[in-house]
Amino acid sequence: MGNIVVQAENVSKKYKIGRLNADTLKDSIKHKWNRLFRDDEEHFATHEEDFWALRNINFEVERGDIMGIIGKNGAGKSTLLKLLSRITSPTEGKIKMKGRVASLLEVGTGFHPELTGRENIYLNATILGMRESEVRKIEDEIISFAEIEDHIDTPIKHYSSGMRVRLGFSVAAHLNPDIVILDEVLSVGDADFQRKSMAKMRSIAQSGRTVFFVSHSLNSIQNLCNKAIYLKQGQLIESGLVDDVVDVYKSTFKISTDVEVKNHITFNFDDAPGNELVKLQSAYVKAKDKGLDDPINMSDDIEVSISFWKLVEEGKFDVGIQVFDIERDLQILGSNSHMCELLDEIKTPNSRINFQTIIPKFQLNASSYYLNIVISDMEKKAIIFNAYCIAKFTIENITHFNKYRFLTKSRGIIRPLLNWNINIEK
Amino acid sequence: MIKTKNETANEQWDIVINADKNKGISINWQELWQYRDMIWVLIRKEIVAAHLQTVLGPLWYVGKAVIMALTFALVFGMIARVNPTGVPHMLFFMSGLMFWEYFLNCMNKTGNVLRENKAIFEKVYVPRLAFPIAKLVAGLVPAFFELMTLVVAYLIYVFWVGSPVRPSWGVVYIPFLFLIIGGIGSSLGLIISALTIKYRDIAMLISYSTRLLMYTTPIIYPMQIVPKEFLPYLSLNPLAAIIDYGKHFLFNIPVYCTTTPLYSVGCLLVIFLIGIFLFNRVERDFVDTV
Repeated sequence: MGNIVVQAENVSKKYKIGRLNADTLKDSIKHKWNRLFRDDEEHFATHEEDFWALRNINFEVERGDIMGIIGKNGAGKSTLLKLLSRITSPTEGKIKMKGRVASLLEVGTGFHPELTGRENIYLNATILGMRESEVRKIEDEIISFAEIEDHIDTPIKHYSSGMRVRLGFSVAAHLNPDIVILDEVLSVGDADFQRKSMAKMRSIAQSGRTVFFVSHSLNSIQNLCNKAIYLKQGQLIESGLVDDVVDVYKSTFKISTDVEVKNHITFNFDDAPGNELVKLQSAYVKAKDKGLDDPINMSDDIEVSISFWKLVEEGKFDVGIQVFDIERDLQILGSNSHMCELLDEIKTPNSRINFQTIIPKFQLNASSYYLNIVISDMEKKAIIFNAYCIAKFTIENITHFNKYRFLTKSRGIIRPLLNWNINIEK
Repeated sequence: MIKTKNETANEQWDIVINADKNKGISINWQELWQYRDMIWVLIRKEIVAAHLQTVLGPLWYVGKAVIMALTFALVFGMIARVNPTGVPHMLFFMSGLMFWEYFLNCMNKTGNVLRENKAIFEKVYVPRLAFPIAKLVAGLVPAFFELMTLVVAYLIYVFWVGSPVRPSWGVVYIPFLFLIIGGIGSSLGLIISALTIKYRDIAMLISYSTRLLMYTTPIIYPMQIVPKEFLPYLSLNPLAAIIDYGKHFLFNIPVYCTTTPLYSVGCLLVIFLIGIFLFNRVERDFVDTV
């Protein structure tokens, strides 16, 4: 119990949208006048609409927790950060905290262009709640981390934007608070400095402090944090260990692809997807030499089959496939048949054509995938038909393929079986 | 048992952020004290940043004081002849302007404080009252230079020109008069900053009002020439007593104002409390509305 350093109780934040405030004195007087002497209060009320950016948020954070905050844009992440950093106050509820809090939602807050880098260090650091004597002690560290030793006594109006953010980040990174509120935008600068600033953030996070971290990158969240909360439209959907919360968040991505998509599909001519050029008849993905419903293992060749009707006589059509990893929503492979000449020779309208290919075994990692079909006119260099997520298939996790060797899922995108040479030196 | 445990736990929270917006007219002195280093750095920033780009630096204040007093001496002293006090025109107008400029400086700077530092307030929590305090103190620098200009001019008149004008013993109160008039300016500034956040067109009203205030304050004329029937009304202006007594202390001329600086202190307290009340009301959530 005593280890809880942040406690949020029923925190809600309401914004008024439509009309934020009475813009002018006249409006305000008019409003008051109408309230007093007229009955058209409704007329004014319609201008304002309540919008709950956060609703009844409850959570507790223990000392040393690194708390990731995830959610889509507009889910209330920034509002929560603003409340935690006391930039704005909640409409209802309260947040209690122990210790010194530093919120780093921006680098270089309060920098004044006319002042030198050194003077701005003091300005920025004291605004962030540091004592002047503390700054004096770590001044040299800040300067050398920012890599601007030569320009530290130059007014920062002469700095490049990169130098400014480096200085700002450096000050922020050397604060010594008990609770840190970090926004991902803090990792700044060129690639080199970004690596350095990310590493510094990690070391801040791991130095036993309590940290709030907001990022759109689930990778950074999972790398940095041990706990997380997931916000959706102002509500707290899930909180707990980071991997669990991220899984819940990720599962919301899948919903659109989960609906009734199987590893095989067949259409009647009349309601088949397509256009005046082609119509899709069927498609399937299965393990070669196995049944349609059998599981696919990593050690199986994967058979992809596509049948369609060609409705016109002319046309150098070609068939391509795209395989996407569902979880990452990342295209893993794309391939074309390169046999359009052949197709051009089929002059009979409404002829049915079947394309088949094999994705060799030990290419795809154990995961779930979906298949897109793209039919293009190679002469016009245009896509004439596109079937998104027409089939979904899963490659199973563990496969024993001989007595001594087996494969499990790895973290990578592909899971190739490589040829190894082993030399034993005696 | 559990209850007492909870109660002790509650006392340990360092920060409680709640929905209670009504802070009334309280000031969190403890927090301001924690941020005293920031206030000090802000004061230095104000002073340094104002002069970094100018060649003459603080000498501008001297030049400004002399040139303004010269203009006023010419227009109001020699052409309109509104200064029958016997005090040399230059000294008379310079002393009035010195107080007025400090007042105006405090009011305008404080009035802008929320807007000017919005970028900071949007990103980090700091006690917002620290910024007006920094402005008030930083404004003493130009006032000091203007006072020094007056002292030098005074010495020139006494020893060079041989003017009979002499200060009264009350000249030691001058710093207090500065504090009072700066306080009134800053408190009005607090009100202005709170109101301009809510109503943008207040800014126009302010610029008219300051001009009006200047004409009703004995800066460009002495209270001596004000018709008797108007004197009590003009004296209601809390600045009037400050400036009339300031001139009394400086030049040992009679006081005509019917109110005293104590009345001004009373006004200061009232305006200050109103200012804090309004400022407290807007400071917490103004980032949502601007």
